Amino acid sequence: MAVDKEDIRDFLNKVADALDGEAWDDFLSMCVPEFEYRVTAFSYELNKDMIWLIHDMDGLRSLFNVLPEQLGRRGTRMLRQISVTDVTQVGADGRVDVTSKVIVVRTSPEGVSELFAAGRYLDVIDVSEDVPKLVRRETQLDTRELGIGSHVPI
Amino acid sequence: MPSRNRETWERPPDLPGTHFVDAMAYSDPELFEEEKQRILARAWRFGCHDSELPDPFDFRTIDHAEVPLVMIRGEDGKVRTFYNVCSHRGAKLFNDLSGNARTKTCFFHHWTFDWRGDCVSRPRPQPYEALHLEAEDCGLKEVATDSQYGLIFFNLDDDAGSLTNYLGDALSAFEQTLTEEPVEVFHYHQAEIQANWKQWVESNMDHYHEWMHVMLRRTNVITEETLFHRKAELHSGGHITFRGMEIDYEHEGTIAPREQSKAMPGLTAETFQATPLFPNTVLMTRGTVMRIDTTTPLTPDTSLVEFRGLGLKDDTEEDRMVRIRQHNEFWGPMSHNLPEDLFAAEQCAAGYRSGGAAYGIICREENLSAQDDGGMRHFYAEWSKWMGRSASDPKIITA
Repeated sequence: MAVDKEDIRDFLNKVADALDGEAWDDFLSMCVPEFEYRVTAFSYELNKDMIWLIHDMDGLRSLFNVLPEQLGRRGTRMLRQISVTDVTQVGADGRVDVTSKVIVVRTSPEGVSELFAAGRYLDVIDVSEDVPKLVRRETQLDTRELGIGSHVPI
Repeated sequence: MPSRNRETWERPPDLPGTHFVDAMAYSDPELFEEEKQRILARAWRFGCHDSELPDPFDFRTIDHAEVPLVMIRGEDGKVRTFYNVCSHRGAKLFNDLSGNARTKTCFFHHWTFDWRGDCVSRPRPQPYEALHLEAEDCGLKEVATDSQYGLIFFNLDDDAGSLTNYLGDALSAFEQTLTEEPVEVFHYHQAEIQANWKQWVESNMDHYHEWMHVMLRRTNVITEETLFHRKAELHSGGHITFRGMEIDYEHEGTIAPREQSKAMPGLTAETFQATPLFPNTVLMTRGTVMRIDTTTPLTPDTSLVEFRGLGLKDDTEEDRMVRIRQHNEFWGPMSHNLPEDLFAAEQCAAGYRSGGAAYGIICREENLSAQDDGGMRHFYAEWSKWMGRSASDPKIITA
């Protein structure tokens, strides 16, 4: 099965739009039921890989359900700029590995934008059906100073 | 008519002086410089955990103390701390955050130092020798270093007393956890926050803020009954231990229940205890995982907080993953609680910095139980001793 890289790019932009728009149900609808999401970083202090967040579908649903009550400033927005750098077809099961660079800009309610994080998405995408779905996403962060942090997945 | 006018707003609360803090303590630049000299340059401060320097010649740089520092484990197994600057022209010597180096050669003119801090090589040394500047006069500046239960501390004061005397019995609540089995740091992150350093230190002593956290409100894991199991033990030297509280995770669908088999030594999976060490370090545990916070003042209005997560060195892969998940649930940079705590510290700082808030009230008395402010009062009593000023009226020098 040939993989259309343009389709992959369109799909990942839609995923980013859903996250940017905090359309959590839309985001989850673009994932397979066994989806796994994790945020990782490498610590040069410890010389170790770290996992900063890891959730399956239920964990993400639970996280999203709590978000409206989580303390923070209403009107803070995130914008994810992605750039697909590699698409590799894995075997014949209709899955592809996709690497993208990602830059996340956070904008305050006053309209002040700042770089929040830089890193990569390491995605596994199921392209065997008509509509692609995320099977796995690892957000591999270069940025390890996230200020007060974030309740929202990157 | 406003509920309070300027005069009544700025009038000190009608409380004992031990029960409130003047805004000046959080924001005054001169007081901040004095804190650096009188407290931070003289107190024992946490540098890193033993597991961060497992092998001989391992080093770890500390860039946010008042001077750049490097901690090195020597061939003899002892950890020493040095100013991380070359004794020749002042260049920073170790530029990596961590690593292993039997000797270290300065990139600039290739002076070389060993793990004792001795200068062991200078290219073309004859002109120095002609002036009697010998290699043994060119060693690194050593800083007092000692450890307890695997926690390595440094003290910038050459005349510092012993760490043992400084800590007293403050770490007793964590002794078994830190010593029965080898412990290892698996998580590290930093946050530069727009708040005075004491505002973050306070957040780990101000248990009244627990109602801020959505996960605690939603899950009711802290009840009126469990609150009163918590007691504050006030150690000499301004250190405190909060213990006795057990969290009931078992019946809460939104929080992963804890398994007793994953509890760290000396704890149950539900243990919730903390030991703030004066001035800027806090050890805490949620039974299956430990956390160490270290807060370093950068300016009166900004602070750098380091967060470490610890588990057992011999964890199976599965156990480690459990600890990572349970660490991240409340304490990671993307957790339920930590971003809320940091948000709160910044919002309080904004209130004081602007001149809006005049005093912080720390007067709750609940027999050193539940959400008593006694921990904060104990911290500020110690702060007052070191500063020679009372926190409620720091303009007046008392000693």
